[in-house]
Amino acid sequence: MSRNVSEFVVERLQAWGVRRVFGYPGDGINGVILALAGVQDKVEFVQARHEEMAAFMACGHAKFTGEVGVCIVTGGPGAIHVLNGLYDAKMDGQPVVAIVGQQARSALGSQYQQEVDLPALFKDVASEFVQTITTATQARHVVDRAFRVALASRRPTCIVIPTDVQEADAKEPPRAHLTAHSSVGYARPVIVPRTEDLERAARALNAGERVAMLVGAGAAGAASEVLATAEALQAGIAKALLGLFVLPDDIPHVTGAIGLLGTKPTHEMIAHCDTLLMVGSNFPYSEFLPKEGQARGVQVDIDGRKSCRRGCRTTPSSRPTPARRSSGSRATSAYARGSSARIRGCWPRWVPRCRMRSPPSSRIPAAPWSRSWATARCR
Amino acid sequence: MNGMNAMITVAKYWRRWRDPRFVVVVLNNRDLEFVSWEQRITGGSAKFPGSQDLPDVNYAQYAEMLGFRGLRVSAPGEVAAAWDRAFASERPVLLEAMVDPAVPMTPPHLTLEQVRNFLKALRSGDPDAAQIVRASVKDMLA
Repeated sequence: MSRNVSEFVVERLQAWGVRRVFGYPGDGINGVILALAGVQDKVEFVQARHEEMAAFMACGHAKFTGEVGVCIVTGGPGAIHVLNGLYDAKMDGQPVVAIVGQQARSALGSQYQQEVDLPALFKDVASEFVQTITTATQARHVVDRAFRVALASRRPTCIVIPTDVQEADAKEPPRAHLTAHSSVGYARPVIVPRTEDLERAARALNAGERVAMLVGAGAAGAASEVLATAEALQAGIAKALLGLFVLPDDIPHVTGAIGLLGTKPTHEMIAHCDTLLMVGSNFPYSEFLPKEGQARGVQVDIDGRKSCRRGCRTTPSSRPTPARRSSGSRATSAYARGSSARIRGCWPRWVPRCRMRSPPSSRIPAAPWSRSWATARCR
Repeated sequence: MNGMNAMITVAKYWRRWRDPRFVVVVLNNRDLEFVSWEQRITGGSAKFPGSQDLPDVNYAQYAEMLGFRGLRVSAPGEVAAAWDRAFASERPVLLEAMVDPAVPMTPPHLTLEQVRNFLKALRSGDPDAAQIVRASVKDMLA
């Protein structure tokens, strides 16, 4: 029995390990929705109330499972709604694939009902990959690339499928000029810094007398390394909002949240540090970071594009271990005895104030998110 | 903005979950408070009730209507027992805490400009000014 492009796409999703998709139907995507109806025992369709929520749910799925999140929506208004959720994936570095319907090829360019220039609409949010499947033989590599690019870049990608292409007979690309023959699967690399960069980072950190650490979601799954680094450096650990679950607040090194709703201990530590070690954080608010010229900076991030934006030097690495590997013994730290006593001295005054205002911020169960965020899988 | 709609989706699916415990906490202060404080502290003006005041929705009752357990807490002494009930529940829970929009959301370190704006906002006819002064004094004495 011949299958159509929608059925091929849904089959390919399964080959990529997709067991659950989030969406909201509409006649612009009915081909794919009906193909999903045929495999409902294998791929669960979770119906959102609004396309924006479908995209947020796909991003949440990626965060909590480590898998690619998939959302499936119709074209026009449905496609426009999906943007906010995809920006969540873009900002939080999550692999999400949006599959979006489009009017039939024969209508495009005629200002047809609900016709939107979708590649242009998605060009910013899905800057890593947005492509329209314009003919059946293209479906295979567009789906494969959307998944691979989403996983490799940890960003949202977008597949646009006109309704008539959704219904067209599926066709394998012939072995000929102007065709592509892609395959399924992605192996995540381990990213380690060059030895000389690692040593440079270690020297910078060892030279610090008052080292502050700032951890974000990128440090998830590396709690013991973060803590060992803090111990080796006698550093305090502040946490960005998305990194609140990395370590609990009651560890002596932890000063709590940073920012407008941050803690006084964090403020004291940042205001007086001479060295800042940022681990897996994209924290954007400069006014809560050391003044320019106040502190040496070392930044550990899996994504080189994120480094040096907040006044820090860079050492890219997938795991925050430079200090532990090469620091050796440290000179006694004035920070540990003097300044940090001052920072810890804030706690007894700060905690009752927090209680009066709201419960401590970091009692979020760490298990699922921290595991998955650090070890994105693919099949 | 979409939260109440998303609760309908939870109502549709929670029975499929292995563990049905799911607690949504609503801090109900009838105010878009974060932005109200930004209007005061960074904008130096009184909060604009037209954009900031929220209609008084009973979120706990809404949750009950969807088949969840709805708990409404309006005194500090009720909080612990409400959490105990929420974690022991056999169905999703919406825990609605009635809280005070007048508690200043001050950053860990106030700049002079923020203090100046704060005082200017209070003098500009902020509808919550009296309550804010009371809460600020309480906060300072804590």
